[in-house]
Amino acid sequence: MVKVTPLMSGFIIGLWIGVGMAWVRIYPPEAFTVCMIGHPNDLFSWTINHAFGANFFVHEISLDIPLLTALGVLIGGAVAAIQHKELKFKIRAEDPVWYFILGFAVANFGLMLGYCPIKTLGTVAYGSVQMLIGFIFIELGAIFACRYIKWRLTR
Amino acid sequence: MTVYFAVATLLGGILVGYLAQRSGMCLVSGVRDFYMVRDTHLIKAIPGLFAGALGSYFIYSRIAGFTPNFPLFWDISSWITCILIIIGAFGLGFFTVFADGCPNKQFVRASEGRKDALAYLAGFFVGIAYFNLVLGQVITTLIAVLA
Repeated sequence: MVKVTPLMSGFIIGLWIGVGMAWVRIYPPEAFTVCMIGHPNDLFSWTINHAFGANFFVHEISLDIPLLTALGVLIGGAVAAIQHKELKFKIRAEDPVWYFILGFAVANFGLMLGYCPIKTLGTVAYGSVQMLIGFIFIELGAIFACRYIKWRLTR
Repeated sequence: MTVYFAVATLLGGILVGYLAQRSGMCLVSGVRDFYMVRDTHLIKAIPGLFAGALGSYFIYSRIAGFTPNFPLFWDISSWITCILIIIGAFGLGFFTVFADGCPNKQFVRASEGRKDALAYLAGFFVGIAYFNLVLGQVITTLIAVLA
């Protein structure tokens, strides 16, 4: 069995982003083949719009039927976990309220940025200066959080 | 055509989910691990994804694939958008470290049955609703006033 490394999976996902754009024509916006902020937003907002007649924002490409990457990731992750006996149903949530708040915060900041880190880096590869700034600040935010954690530990 | 997009992204998502579950890939956790303990394992996903995407854009732009406006280069539309991107990106990176992974990783962890990831996703979808109902409206108004 071939061991899947982050380098390898990053490369394959990068190739899929290009294929999705160039041949499947998942567009606009550019490099929108994989986005774990935009696609779940489209799926959720499309469902709410159709169920309750709301007017939540949905990308143009998802107006009729939403993009289903989020559902696919859940299926793919579950298949891999079952195949390798890594299902963790018995693990208790450490602090569900804290994780709920984190999910809430990430969704809001992510929608402010517009996209997830994967889509952001995919658009950087497409040559976007705007998303290069975005990706740099995602990583700066991560480094700032690490510094904060270190500071809390040394206090 | 839209069914075609939905099926394509579903299949692509299965591939992404499978690969992410096997490799633990996360574009934020890689930087966190490198910064905290100098572990370079996860950070290799960044050059991998960049090279894969750039390579495929480059190849497809040469062999009649659909790559409009490639390369984009200077695409900053306004300073307000730029500030929103900076705030959004910084906040996304900051809170992702505390959540132990980006949204993609949280979907994968939820598919493994982890309850903390399920709580995260519950907050994530409530957050989407909140953004659409409140924050998005505030931002749209602000942009209209400042522009």
